[in-house]
Amino acid sequence: MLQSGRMRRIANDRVLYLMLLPFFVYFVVFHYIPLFGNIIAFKRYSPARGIFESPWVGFSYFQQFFTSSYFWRVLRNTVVISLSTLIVGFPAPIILALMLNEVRSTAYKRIIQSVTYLPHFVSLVVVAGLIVQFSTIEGLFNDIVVALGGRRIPLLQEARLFVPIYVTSEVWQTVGWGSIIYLSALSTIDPNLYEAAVIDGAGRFRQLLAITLPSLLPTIVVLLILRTGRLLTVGHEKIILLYNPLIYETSDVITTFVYRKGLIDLNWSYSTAVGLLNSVVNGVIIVSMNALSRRVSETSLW
Amino acid sequence: MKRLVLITFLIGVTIAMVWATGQSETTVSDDGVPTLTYYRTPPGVIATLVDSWEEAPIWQAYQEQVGIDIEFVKIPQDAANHLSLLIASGDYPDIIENFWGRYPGGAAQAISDEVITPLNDVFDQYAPNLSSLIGEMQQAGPGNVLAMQTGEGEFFGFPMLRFYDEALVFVGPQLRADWLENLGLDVPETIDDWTAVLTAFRDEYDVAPLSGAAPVLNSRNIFGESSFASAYEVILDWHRVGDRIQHGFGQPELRDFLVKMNEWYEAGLIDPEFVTNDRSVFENKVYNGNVGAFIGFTGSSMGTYLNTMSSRDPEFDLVGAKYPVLNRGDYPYYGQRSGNVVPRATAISTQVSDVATAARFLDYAYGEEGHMLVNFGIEGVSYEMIDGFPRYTDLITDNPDGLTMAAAMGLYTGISAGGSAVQDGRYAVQYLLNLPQQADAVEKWKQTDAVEHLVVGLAPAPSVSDDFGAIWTEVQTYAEENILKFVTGARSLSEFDDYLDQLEAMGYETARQYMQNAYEAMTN
Amino acid sequence: MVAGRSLSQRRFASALRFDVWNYLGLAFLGFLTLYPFYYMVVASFSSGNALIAHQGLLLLPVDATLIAYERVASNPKIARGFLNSIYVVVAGVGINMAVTSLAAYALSRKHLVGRSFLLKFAVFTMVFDRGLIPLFLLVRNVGLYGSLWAVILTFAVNTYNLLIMVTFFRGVPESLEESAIVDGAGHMRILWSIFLPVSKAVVATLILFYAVGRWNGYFYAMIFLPNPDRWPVSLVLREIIISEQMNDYLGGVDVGDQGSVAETIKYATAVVTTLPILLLYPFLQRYFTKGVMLGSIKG
Repeated sequence: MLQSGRMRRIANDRVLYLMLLPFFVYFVVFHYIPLFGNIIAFKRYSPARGIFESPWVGFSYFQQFFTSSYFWRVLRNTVVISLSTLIVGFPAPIILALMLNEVRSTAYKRIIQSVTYLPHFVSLVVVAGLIVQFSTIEGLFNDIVVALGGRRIPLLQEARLFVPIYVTSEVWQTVGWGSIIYLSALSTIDPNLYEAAVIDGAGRFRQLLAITLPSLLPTIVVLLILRTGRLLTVGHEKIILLYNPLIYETSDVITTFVYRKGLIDLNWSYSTAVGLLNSVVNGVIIVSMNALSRRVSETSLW
Repeated sequence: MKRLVLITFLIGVTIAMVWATGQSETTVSDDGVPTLTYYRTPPGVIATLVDSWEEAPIWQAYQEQVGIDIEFVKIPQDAANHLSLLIASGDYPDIIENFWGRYPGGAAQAISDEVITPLNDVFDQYAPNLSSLIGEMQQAGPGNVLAMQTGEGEFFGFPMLRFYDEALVFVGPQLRADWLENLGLDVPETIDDWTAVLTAFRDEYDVAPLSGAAPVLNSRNIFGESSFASAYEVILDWHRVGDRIQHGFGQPELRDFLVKMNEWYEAGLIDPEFVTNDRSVFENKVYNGNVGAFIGFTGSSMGTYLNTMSSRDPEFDLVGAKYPVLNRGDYPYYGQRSGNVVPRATAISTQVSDVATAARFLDYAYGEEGHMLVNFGIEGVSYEMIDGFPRYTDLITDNPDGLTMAAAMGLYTGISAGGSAVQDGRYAVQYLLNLPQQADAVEKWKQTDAVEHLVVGLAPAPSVSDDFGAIWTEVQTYAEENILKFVTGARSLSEFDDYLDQLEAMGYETARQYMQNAYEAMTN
Repeated sequence: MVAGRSLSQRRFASALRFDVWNYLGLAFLGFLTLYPFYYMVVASFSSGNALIAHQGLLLLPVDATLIAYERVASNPKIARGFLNSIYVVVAGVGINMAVTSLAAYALSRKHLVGRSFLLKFAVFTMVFDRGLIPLFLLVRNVGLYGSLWAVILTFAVNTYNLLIMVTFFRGVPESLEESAIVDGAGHMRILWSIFLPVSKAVVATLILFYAVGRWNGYFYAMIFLPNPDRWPVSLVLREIIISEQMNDYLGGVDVGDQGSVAETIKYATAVVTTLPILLLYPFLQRYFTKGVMLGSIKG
């Protein structure tokens, strides 16, 4: 009985499958087929030999990574930086969107909104250069430190300051652009709901809790789950521009370590192996988060 | 309305599809002249001047003189992986200029992977100019010839060679000459001299005088080219002492060097930000009188700073110093010096249709006419022979169209950015050493025993390169981190032995042995 | 009657306090985010060495000069680069929106058999990266190498954007879909005539995201396009920066008055790249404004 029910649904939804065709073909051709290339993580890959002719080495590159003296350190740093960025950086755009939402002057709202997304467009090299400049002994950040009663020190030489500096600059660069999606979501809320609430005597704060946040919830949940799917992924480009051996202790992450190794010997297999490992852990995390979300709320990715 | 938009869009897309998918890269010259595809990164400046480098006057002349056409493969400026991608796709350009040490497994692997052909026979049969040059080099000593071969004695590419000191030495210690003069001090030679000078700078000008630009072990930073370290017989790179290969990271002598550096740091003689200064921050300090001494290049440090400051502060002057020694009268143990053989070479791929043509094309640069063409350009146009010396004309040095010298050189010569030929010292003298301070600096910097300790193009054998890479990443991370900690005092020097032990635990000796083996393979 | 202020008065006062703090907070954030961009613009009109030597907060161009922009504008590849970029954005975003909308609609239908599987299918690719070399070989083998379509098609769908749209579509009231079905409308019609108009906010958002992504992207262009005639402007500009840095590094003596242009060119190119986006944004911004399109849902 169930079978024919399913078959009937499939038949009814013929058009939907047609609509999914370009999407499906795209992913198969441009993602899943190239995904096979990850097999070089298990081989000693040489571009000249090609993927198929390169010899097998099994898990040796994975082992090399695990047994490295720095494995735990880079793993820890990656997790710390990633979680910190998540904890601070995920709510920030939401809060910004809510703040903007409360602004009654359209002009002011538009101006602020347009300005806050600008950092998204400032290239990484420029941002890093500014951070380095501001962190010098005579730099802007130290001026602030002194104003608050502290001493001048080269900020980028203190291991314990790296994560705060990194996270702050990340939030600064992403808060504006990140708020766009939430503003979009906010704009779809039926204004009648608010009118009804005001009539019922609800204050702004109550409106926020009863209407705004619940309406945003699906978006927030989906974006949060997606974000956790990149949990172990902290890019190397920005860190390379900011770190130095004195603060490797807190700033050396998986990708920067692999990058430095790549400068010594250009090993495609090794970086693929580490990347694969990364992905597997991320995969487990996102699946768990999705399951958790499905249990706790009604929203989940799949 | 929506329908109209949709239809227009679809039509537009269809038209555009036809347009864009069209032309691909088939340019066949069918005038009977053989054409070679040339993989080589052109000097960045010429990208704005010509569509493709072969259109530049230098290559027009070269192609005509040798009777072979070339076509440069379009390469993005910094695509480090680009060659790998090309190789992976199985489409090899005819001649490939590359740092073959960076190819995984080195040139030996490239040969055994059948990407490039071994050239011993090719040299004998088709490259008379280079062959006779090799013969001469052989007479002078085996070192250079060995640097052009794999461990098995196979020549892998047409090399870039430099013999003049002016072309080989271009980095060294520099100080504010005006400060020295104001304080009545001589240019320092020994470590104690340096301590005195730096202290005087500190007291008089209220700065931490010795500074540099990140990254730390770069040429532009305070330990660049093992300056100061070499006074203690420590060289912060792979080097040779007699027949032993070693690296400064693991030398016990490192301790004494670090003790002195730590003293200097505590005394405020070293800029505490030497670890974090990026290039702009560092140059800002130079221009604002906050730097008294540094390690730098003749051109982009000394030349740039002197030129810039000439209008801002006429007092500003720089002088080069010899690489420091421990005791007066000692001869500097080490200093920057490039090997005669640059690790970059042009190989002939296994897919070339005619090896002889490729060899002939490349060999031309080593002959009399080719040499002058590649180094100086076209006589009467880009250079004139004045008293037997090839002097660049105004076209190069003071271009009427406002081209920078680098741009003009890129158009008229083939040697300013790589190139397989012998780089003429007279080129270097004119291009890099225009100011008297520069010539004087080079004169001092070349007085070192670097030749005794240099090893060029040393790489572990392909069979152990994986293991070496794994070990060395850790060793390097640990060493850099801890050397800096010792200098800044973040870690006490009483723990130096622990440092050496840890290095050993990470496999330093194993890595060293790999390099030792590679060296022995190379010299046998 | 309570002495002092009434409830509504107190409410008003606290609302006012909130507003003041809100406005101030936003202004502060605005300043923080504006300054670096302002810095970039000012720096781009300065001369290299003067900029490097400058101390303190940068408020006006130092040794004002147009040289950075001259260098950028004089590059013959720039004009062509803009054309290529426009082409990639128009064709690219068109395809992006088409494929994404169709798929998002289908994936938002709860009754779709295999929905969960397909969603996992898409998310998987976000977690597991495709390898560069296999992708390169694939593009070569299907004959797209050298064509702008290599860049366009290799990014036909962004999973993140897709899921955002799925979430929005799921939030569209079922009553709309049902009434349309009763009227005999098929899925395509429902999507086109009901869902898209109702979702103007998310459509505008995705257009913005896709357009910006296309406009700024240079990496795949670098890998797949050997012919500089096909390069998008982002890649052309990047090449300019790097070649100027090379020039600066090698060059030595011919520094001249303006000194190292490389430093200021970085900023000039960034300004040039950002300008078109800044112009595009206001057009899309109105769709994010509250309550714009909901009138159509009533009734």
